[in-house]
Amino acid sequence: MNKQFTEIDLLKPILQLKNGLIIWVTKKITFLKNLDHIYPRYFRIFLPLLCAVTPVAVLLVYIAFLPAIQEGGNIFLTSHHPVIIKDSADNENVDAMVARQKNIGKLQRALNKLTPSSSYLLINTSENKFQLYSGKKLIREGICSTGSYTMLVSGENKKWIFKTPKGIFRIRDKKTSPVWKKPDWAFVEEGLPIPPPNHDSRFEYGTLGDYALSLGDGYMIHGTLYQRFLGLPVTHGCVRLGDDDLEKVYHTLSIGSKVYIF
Amino acid sequence: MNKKDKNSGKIIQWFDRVSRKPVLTVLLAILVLIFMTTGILTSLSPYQYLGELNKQFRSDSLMIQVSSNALDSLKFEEAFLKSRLTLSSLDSISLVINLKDSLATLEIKGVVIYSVKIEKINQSLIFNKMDPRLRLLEFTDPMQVSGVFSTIPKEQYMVKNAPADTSDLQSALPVIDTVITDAVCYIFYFENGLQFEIRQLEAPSGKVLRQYDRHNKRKEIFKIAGDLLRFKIPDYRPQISIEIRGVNARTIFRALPVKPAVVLKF
Repeated sequence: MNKQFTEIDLLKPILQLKNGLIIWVTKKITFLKNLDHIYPRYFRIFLPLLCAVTPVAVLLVYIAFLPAIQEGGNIFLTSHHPVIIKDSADNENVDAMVARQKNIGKLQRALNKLTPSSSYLLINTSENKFQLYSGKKLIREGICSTGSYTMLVSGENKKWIFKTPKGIFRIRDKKTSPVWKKPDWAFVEEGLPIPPPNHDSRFEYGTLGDYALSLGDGYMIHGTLYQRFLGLPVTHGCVRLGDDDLEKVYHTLSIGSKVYIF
Repeated sequence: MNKKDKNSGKIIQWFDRVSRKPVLTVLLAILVLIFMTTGILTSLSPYQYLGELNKQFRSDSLMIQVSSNALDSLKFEEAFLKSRLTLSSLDSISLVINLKDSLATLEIKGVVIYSVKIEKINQSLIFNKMDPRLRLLEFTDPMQVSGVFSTIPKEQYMVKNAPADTSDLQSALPVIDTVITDAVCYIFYFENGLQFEIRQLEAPSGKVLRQYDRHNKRKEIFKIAGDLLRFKIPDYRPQISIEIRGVNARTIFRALPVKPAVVLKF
């Protein structure tokens, strides 16, 4: 027998559920109210909160442990030897090893050739240290000063960054008793007006020490009047060395020698 | 009692009956099921990672050849030297990590410019379970860093305003970077999924380090959780972590370009 469903019929279970829920909640509240004499009030307030927060907290703790679970998955791995290895006679193995060893020797020689056989200088700008090598032999090491990583900003929208460039450089020029031709920033930094390009005030004697080795683009390896700042990053981009170290570097490196700055 | 009250009563009875224990049990069961499923999926990820490598390994016919421990070690040495020669063709500074001899070196054009001893090495368990030849296949070629996260900036500038005149001149010395004592930790993310971390050996502490660790953990969790939400076995990212002196770690980080090339030797 076909029963005709009306809208009321369809809504009936929902209405029943709604009424039921209301009665159930009321009953629960009454039950909780009756607990007044057993549990303190704050406990009744926090109990539902605790019930809601606990699963979330458990879930969050679990999620936090996911990387550990992932790493723990390694424990179940067995050693893998997926390659099909040919069963070989010993002499076949020996031949292969000899061939490899020859190739290794060749590669090693190719790598060794890349290190300059003549003198070269390493400048460590982070630690403000230098190492002077002759071929593979370290002949001197010590402290130096490199760029201060200062950005000088002038009101005229001009700015200069004082840092020592990194990379491979070559000694372009060598000078004794060098004279410093002060660039514009030297005047800006001191709050002085910038003079014309070849004005007398641009030339300073003795500031760069006894020797200077040019690296190009205005960067130099030179001495300093401020020996107490050696080992600190205080320069405008040049590399400052102590007097004795500078002398040794000057006499060891020749024009074309490599300088590695890192 | 009318019919309506009768029905409501039935529902209450049912709801009350169900709500006591079974609902809690069902909820708990669902939670446990979620934990188990995600836990199993997560712990399967190293297995899947290794499986992928094995597949790649098998498809490389060159690898199916005569093998022995002595020959393998020669192959590793050869591959390492080849990789260093490849690096020498680059113009920038590269990092060479020799885990076998505990050495971290900086090289430019094949010249070793900086070398430090690695004090401590921590690596994912998978490297111990992995066939050495898989490591040769996957990690011996120069690897390109795809992302970096660190506690220190690459270059830190101090801005100094030019004095208006000599009376305004301050003999202010720049803040010297070497006196900054923030912990030096950084992590390189590689295109092949490897994560390589360098941490300072000296007991690090402070807010910066906590932020760094939190960031790494969060990134890892989000990655795994994201994959799990898509019902996918999470990608496994093996990690190698080395500890060296803070000053050395700083030098290496500052010397390297933003996305350097790295060679590993196991």
